[in-house]
Amino acid sequence: MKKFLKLTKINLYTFFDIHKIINARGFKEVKKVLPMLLLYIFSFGFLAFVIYKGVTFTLDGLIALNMPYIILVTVMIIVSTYSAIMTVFKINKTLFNAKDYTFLLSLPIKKSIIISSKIFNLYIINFVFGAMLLIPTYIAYIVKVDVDIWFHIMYLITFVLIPVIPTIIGSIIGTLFTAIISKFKYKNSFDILISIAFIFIIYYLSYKVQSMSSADLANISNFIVDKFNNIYPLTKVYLNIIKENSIFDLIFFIIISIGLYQLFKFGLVKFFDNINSKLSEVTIINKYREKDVKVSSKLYALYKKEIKRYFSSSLYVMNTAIGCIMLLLVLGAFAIFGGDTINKLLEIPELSNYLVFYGPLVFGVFCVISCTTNSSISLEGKNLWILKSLPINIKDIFISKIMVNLTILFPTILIASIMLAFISHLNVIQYLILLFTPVMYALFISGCGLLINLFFPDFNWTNEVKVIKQSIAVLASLAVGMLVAMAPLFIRIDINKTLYSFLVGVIVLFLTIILYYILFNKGKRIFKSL
Amino acid sequence: MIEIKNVTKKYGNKMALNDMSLTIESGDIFAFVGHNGAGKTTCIKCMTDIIEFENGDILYDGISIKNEPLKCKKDLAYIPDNPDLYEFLKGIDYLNFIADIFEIDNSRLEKINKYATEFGLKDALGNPIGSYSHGMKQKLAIIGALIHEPKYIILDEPFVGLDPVATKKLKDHMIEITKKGTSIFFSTHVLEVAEKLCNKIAIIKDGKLIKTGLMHDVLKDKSLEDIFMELENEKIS
Repeated sequence: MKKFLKLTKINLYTFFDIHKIINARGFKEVKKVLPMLLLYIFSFGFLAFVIYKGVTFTLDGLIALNMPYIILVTVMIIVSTYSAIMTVFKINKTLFNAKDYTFLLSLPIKKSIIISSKIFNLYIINFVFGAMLLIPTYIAYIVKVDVDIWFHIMYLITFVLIPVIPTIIGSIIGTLFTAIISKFKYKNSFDILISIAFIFIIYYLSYKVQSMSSADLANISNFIVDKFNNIYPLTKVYLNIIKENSIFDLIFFIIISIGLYQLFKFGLVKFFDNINSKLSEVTIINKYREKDVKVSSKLYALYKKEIKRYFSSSLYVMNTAIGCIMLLLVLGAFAIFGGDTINKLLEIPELSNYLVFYGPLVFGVFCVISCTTNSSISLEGKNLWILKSLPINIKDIFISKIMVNLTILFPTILIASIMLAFISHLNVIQYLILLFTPVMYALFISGCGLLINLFFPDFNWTNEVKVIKQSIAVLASLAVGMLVAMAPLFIRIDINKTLYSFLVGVIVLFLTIILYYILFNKGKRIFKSL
Repeated sequence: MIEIKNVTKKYGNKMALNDMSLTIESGDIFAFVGHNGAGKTTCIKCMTDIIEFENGDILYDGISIKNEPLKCKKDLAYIPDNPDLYEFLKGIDYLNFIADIFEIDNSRLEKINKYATEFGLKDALGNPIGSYSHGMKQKLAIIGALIHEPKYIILDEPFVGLDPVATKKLKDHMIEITKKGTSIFFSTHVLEVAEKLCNKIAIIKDGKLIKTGLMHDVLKDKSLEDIFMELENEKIS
């Protein structure tokens, strides 16, 4: 047990950068850690506040319908889904192909303890992120709804249990994915395809839950629970625990959680080495093609390297390209199948004006969530010495990273704007504005993500999930990007919407010029000091 | 010629390099020796512009790496102690990338084939670097350093992880290219290699150079191991 706790502690300290915070000595080190700590506190605090407000608002409606407990079920489903998805993407490199596995195996620690600590590590991470949702929900619920002492006890116990089964489900799916992928020659391409398919299945399931138009109001509560239960069979058990204080269901929940955990651990210990060695097998190609050895310019060489880095990680692609793919799919489906809806839309007066205004903002939001540069510096990791020791202009390094982001964003904007123009019969001027403003957003967010990553780099990661999904740089660039993309919605100027959209594009262009000036001056100095 | 002039580098309050000065002339094979944590890697990283230093300067044929890093690095090759290369690239892609950065013309393929054959890596160049062993990565880094025919080669523990054949090849290349005027500066813990291979040596202790000069002047009639132990014991007493 001691060894298990020690291993878990080390893993968690590394994942949450706790060691950096508690080991910070002297003004210089504290100065380095403090912004990170403050940003963490601010981000989590802000998120908790938004969730609290959202839950309170939803609760008002649900109380009127006499079914406040629906919010608890909904939050439980969200936490479970999030935990499962995150585990699917984290399992490789955390559990399998982990860099420290062979080292740990050489120590006098049982294999089962090493594996348990790694699964437990995944559980704790899910628990922490689940707590961000479950705690504000709990506070909002006890403020708004009369509850007895049993509710508190039941909520507390289930609070700890909720992420257990999703972590196991995510681990099994992730293991299967990794096992299947390992059999293919082009592992990365297949990994990306399978991950995109997985995300679409999740979206499809959530879409199915949302389509509740056929339910009558009196039975809506049962309908929602049934829908959730179809996806996650423990929903009704959870509802019985929370709503009816059912001890029987609680015991069932505990037994199934612990039982599944033990079963999974047992199976994993048995087959771990086999799976792990299969996953680390490499397809031997042997001979290289001499025609691949071509002369390129420095910038193009850097760009090729960056593109290969991007497509080498399914997580990186998933996290940044999924928004673009969805945007194109939705618009494409609308253009092909939305005949009647389009005709009705075309009857709306001033439609094209509204589209030219809101279209770029929506595209802007997609640019923000598709930012690749906000982790591109951190992703250099232990390879940073290569760029620093070679005769490369730092500006070229920055441009190559920005070019990768634009390679994803520009075609998306171009195709999406053509589709939107086709659907809504825009004239040439309106189309050009619809193109211009999002292009400015794309340039802005690409530079902005890079600059923020330079301010908050993290080179000591062991799993790229940490820098791609959960780093300060990613959080901060999302916040800044969203602020810039959404600001025009809140600033009302009484002018023609098409003109306003153009004005927004010009302002973003102005901001982009300032940003790139900072990037190519201050940013270069920061890069040199990394 | 490389001139290290009064270089000082601090990590917080710790003085990693203390007013260090050293000259490496054309054709030198210069050994850089010291105990763990003495400042060898820090010095090498300053020389290759990987980290910045507070005071002093490092000049390559009179050009300051602080003021004109690109000019200096054009003639420079560096091999780190732990060759963390781009694991997502194939070996050949990495070498092609290096060739592009150093603007090597179409002769690159001939050079790549030559060195890859010599170091026994040709058959693995089509595989991802992620599948390479430590020694194979080290060989790839060495080939990457040699293909652009640099004037200065700086190596940090270059023989760690290399098989005997590759070690011999590397030593032969070091001797051969220094005859053409290339300067080689490398850190090592293998004192026998330093003694046999190098014409000059510098010994560093706690960020300060404590002995430097021609190898035979430093050794006189002793072995390098004896000299090194004497200097270490001086510290203890």
